Amino acid sequence: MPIRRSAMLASAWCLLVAPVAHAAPGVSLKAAVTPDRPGASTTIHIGFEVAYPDGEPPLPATEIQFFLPKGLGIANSELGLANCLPAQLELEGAVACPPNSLMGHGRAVTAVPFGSHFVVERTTMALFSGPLREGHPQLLFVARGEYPVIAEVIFGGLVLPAEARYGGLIETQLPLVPSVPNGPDVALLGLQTTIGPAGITYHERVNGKIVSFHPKGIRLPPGCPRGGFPFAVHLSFQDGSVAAARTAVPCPRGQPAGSRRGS
Amino acid sequence: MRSGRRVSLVVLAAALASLTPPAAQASHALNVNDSGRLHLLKAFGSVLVEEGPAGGTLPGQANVHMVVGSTVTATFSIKSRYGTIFGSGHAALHSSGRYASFGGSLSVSHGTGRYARAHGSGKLYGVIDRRGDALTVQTIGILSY
Repeated sequence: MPIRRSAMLASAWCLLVAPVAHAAPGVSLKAAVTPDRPGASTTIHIGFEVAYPDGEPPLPATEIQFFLPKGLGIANSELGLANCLPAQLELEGAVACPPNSLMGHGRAVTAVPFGSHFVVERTTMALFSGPLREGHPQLLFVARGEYPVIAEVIFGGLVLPAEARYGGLIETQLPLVPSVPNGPDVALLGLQTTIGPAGITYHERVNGKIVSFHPKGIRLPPGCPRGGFPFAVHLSFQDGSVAAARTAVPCPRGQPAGSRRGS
Repeated sequence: MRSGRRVSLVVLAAALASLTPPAAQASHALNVNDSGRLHLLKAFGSVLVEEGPAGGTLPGQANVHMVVGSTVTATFSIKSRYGTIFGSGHAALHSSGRYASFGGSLSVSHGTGRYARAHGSGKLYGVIDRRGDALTVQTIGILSY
C-alpha cells in the first residue's frame, strides 16, 4: 500500500514537472533607503515578489542579482567589521557568526510542494559579512524556516562591479532546496532584506570594557541622480526563464533631482 | 674671440636641449618607498578623502581621494618641500572585516616645482580601519623628474 501511494504521488509530480512551455514569471521590485538624506548613513530596504501566470507552478530560482545605485558606500561603511566563516556557518548555523558580522535582516517567502499543491513557507533571514571571495566582498544569507519544513538554508552572494547605470550588484547563486522525493524543488515567491544598521548593535572592547554601538551604515552620495536612486533585480529560474524589474528611490524633498554631484 | 666661442657653445647647448625629447630631460630617478598614516577629512558615498603626513624617500603631506567599492581607485598628491607630485592608483581588496587591506598599482602623472616633470609607476598597498576610516598606505616605485 505505501508503495502504491508513492507511485501515485510520483505520477502526480510527473504531471507537475513535465517540461511544458511555461509562461515566464514576472517580478516586482520595491526599494527604499532610510534615512534618505544625501550623505546620510543609511539602511537599504530591497525586496521583490514573483508572480506566476495562472495555473503555472512556482519555480525554484537559481540566481538573484540586485543592482544598486552608483556611489553607495557599502565597503567603507562600518557594516561587517567581523567576518562570518562559511565553513563554520555550514557546521554550526547562524550562531557561529560573530555579532559584528551581521549586516541586515529579512524574510523570504517560498512555496514548498506538498502532495499536489504548494504550501507557502515564510522564512526569516539574516545577512552576514563573509571573507572576500575571488577578490570580491561576500555576503552570506541564512534563511530559516519553521513550518511546514524546519530548515536552514545558506547561500552566498558577491558584491561585483555593474553596468554603467548602476554602481554595483549583489550576485547570489541559490542552492536548490529539495522537497519530497522526486518532487520539485522549493520555489521562491519573494524576498525582502535590509542592508544596513537598522536594528543592529555591534560590540567592541574599549579600555577593557565591552561597549555597544550602532555601526555607521551605507553612506549615500552627496547628490541624488536624475530620476532618483536606481535599483534593479534580475532573477534566473531553474527552467532557464528569467525575470527582471527595476525601480528608483525618489530624491528626497528639497534635493534637486539630477544633481551633478550624485550623477 | 673667447667671448664669441662662449656664445657659440651656449647656442649649441641650447640647440641640443631643444632637440632633446622631454622624457630624456628628467635628470633624476628616485626609488621611492613612502608610507603614511592618514586620517579621514570627509566621507561621502563610496568616497573617502584622507590626509596626513607621509614619511620615507619623499616626505611630505599626503592627500588621498579614494573610491572604495569592490575595488579601490584613488587619486593622490604628496606635497613636499620642493614641490608636489600627483598620481592615481587602482587596487584590489585583499581582506575585509574591520581592517580592509588592498594592493595594486599606481602611476605618477605630473607635479609642480622641482617635480614639474614627474612621472613614474609603482605599487600601492594600504589598510583602511573601517572603524573611523583611518588609512595606512605604502607606495613603492620609481619616480623620475
